[in-house]
Amino acid sequence: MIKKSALLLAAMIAVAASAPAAAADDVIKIGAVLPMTGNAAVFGEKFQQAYTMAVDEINAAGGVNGKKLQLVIEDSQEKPQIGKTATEKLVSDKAILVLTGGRSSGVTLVEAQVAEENKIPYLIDHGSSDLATRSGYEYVFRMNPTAGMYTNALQSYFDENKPANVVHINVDNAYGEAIYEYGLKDYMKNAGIDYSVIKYKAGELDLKPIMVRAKSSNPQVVIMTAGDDNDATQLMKAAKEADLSPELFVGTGAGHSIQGFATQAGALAETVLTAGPWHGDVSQDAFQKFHDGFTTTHGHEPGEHEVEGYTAIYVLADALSRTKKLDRDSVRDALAETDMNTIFGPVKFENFDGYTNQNRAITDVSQWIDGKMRTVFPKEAAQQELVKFKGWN
Amino acid sequence: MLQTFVDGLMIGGVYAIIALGLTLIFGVMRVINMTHGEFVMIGMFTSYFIFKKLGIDPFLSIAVTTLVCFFIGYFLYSAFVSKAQKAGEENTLLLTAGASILMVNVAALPYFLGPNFSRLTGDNLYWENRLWNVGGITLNASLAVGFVLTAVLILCLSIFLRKTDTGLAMRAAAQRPLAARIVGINVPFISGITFGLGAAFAGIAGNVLSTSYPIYASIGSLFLVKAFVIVVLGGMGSIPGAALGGLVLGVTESFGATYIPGGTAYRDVFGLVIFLLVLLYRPQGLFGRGV
Repeated sequence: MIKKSALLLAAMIAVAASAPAAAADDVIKIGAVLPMTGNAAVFGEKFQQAYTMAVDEINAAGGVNGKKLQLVIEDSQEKPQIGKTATEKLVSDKAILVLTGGRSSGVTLVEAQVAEENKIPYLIDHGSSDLATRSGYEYVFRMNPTAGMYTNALQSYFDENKPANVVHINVDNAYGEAIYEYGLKDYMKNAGIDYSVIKYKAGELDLKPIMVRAKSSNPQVVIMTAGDDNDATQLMKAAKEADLSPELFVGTGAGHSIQGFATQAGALAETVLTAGPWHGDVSQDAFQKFHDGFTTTHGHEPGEHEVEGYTAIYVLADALSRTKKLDRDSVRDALAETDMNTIFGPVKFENFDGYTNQNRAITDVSQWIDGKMRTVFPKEAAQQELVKFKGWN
Repeated sequence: MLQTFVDGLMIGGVYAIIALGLTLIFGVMRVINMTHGEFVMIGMFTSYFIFKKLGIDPFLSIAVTTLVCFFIGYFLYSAFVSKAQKAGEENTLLLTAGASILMVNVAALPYFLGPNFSRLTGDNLYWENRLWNVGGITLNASLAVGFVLTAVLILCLSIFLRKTDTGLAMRAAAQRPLAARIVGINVPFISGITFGLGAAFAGIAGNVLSTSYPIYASIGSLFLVKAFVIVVLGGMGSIPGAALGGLVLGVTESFGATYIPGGTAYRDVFGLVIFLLVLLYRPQGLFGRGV
């Protein structure tokens, strides 16, 4: 005799299983792999906040062709191997039509590979390793500048103000490698600038020996590459300890371009420059609206990452509104036809110089003044004049 | 060159404090303590927390850190490690490895450190980016004070272990537990005190480092291997060995990173090479008495 409780349980399971899948037809799912835990969780949070803000705005305005957007996030812990599993999990959900996210170069590359193998379109919004759009992938698109492109505006600045010698303190990972290989190496050689590179390991605590070595070259400009605000801060602390005093300290985005750097480094961040993705024009109405809305909701100004994340959702929404059918191949085709203006600048995916489906994104040189990042070059986008390093006293 | 040497001594002093704690636990008690780095992290966190909430200088809050780490260490030993110890040394490794994972993940909870980096900074913090110039040599002020503190701690610990009843009891309990029991020493209690003391030293190192380094839950792992290397390098259970080993490692790393091209990426290698050489030619360590 089957007990009554067992029958009741079986009945409940049957009812639950037969209930229709939650409103699948009214929802368009977007998948994103983000570092929600681990050392890079601060970035994951930025993107989640930005994505959510955009999704909420779009849904409040009626969604895309009447359907609501739904964000599905999987945690990469900023580890490529776990990022791979996270991407595969998203890919296995057939309702997810398009991917974004990735964040670090390592995870982005893995996500791109999995996306290409599984024929699901993937919009990179931040990952900077040039390889992701230099591998001939058809399903991978990138709206942000590559690491190789980060220093475009800085190179223009050097064209007008050629430095006598430059020491580049570079992080020993895929990101640092791309900044050098696709960005600065050829430029410095062609411009005939005395350029040397000193590498350090990410997370290294005692960076003073490097700064002592850098100081021995008496550089006019010190370029630093740091993947996170912790390394960016340790570099400046070590520079002070070694009394390294160039005319300019220039970071290359990432760690040097987030508020965490100004918070951790305090006075040491003052006048530090950073060359990387453009982070919006405050004088533009649409950007101002986003900026004010974000600051009110989250209590801090949005930076490059937030602008990228917010824009990515709008780019995806635009593609989803134009797609002939709601399947992955059609969304891919719609994405390829993108040609729009956003608060991150124009977005159009092109093939050029060995890149495929790459947007010619705008970069700038910004400077930390009084704990805020202000664009100082190119002049047309400059919010103020560039200030030289004032020395350690 | 002199600057590089002094820089090495400064960081070596902190390594020495961490290693002092481990030489008590690993060298004397033969407990393979994989949580030792986490006690440095707890020290850093305690120092950060007290400064943020009460504005008390990290060097003054060392007293609190010592107590916090001592009690956590004592509890860890008495409740868990002592039981694993009965089944052999390897079991203490497994148990403390598990405890280490737990400690790191608890520290990463939003209420404590959270997943991001924290920094001990503040307008009223004397030690922030503070450099002292002594005869043309630049010293990181907090590490310089840490160096002096190391010397004081070594002296105190040596006297404690040789001249006080508790210190003698600690050595006896570690060397001959059965004989120690027979003469009336409460071995479990004394062993817990030894472990707690070792943990407290690691915590003190955390206070010293808290103004120079970022503070995050998993930072302990950066110190753990170094600490084991120093303890074996200096001689298991040897206090002067731990001190000298720490200084040797600090100076070696400093010179290697500064003068060897590409050395900064491989700074850990230099210390490990010294370690290999010592094991090859003097396996008992610099001050050890023989295997």
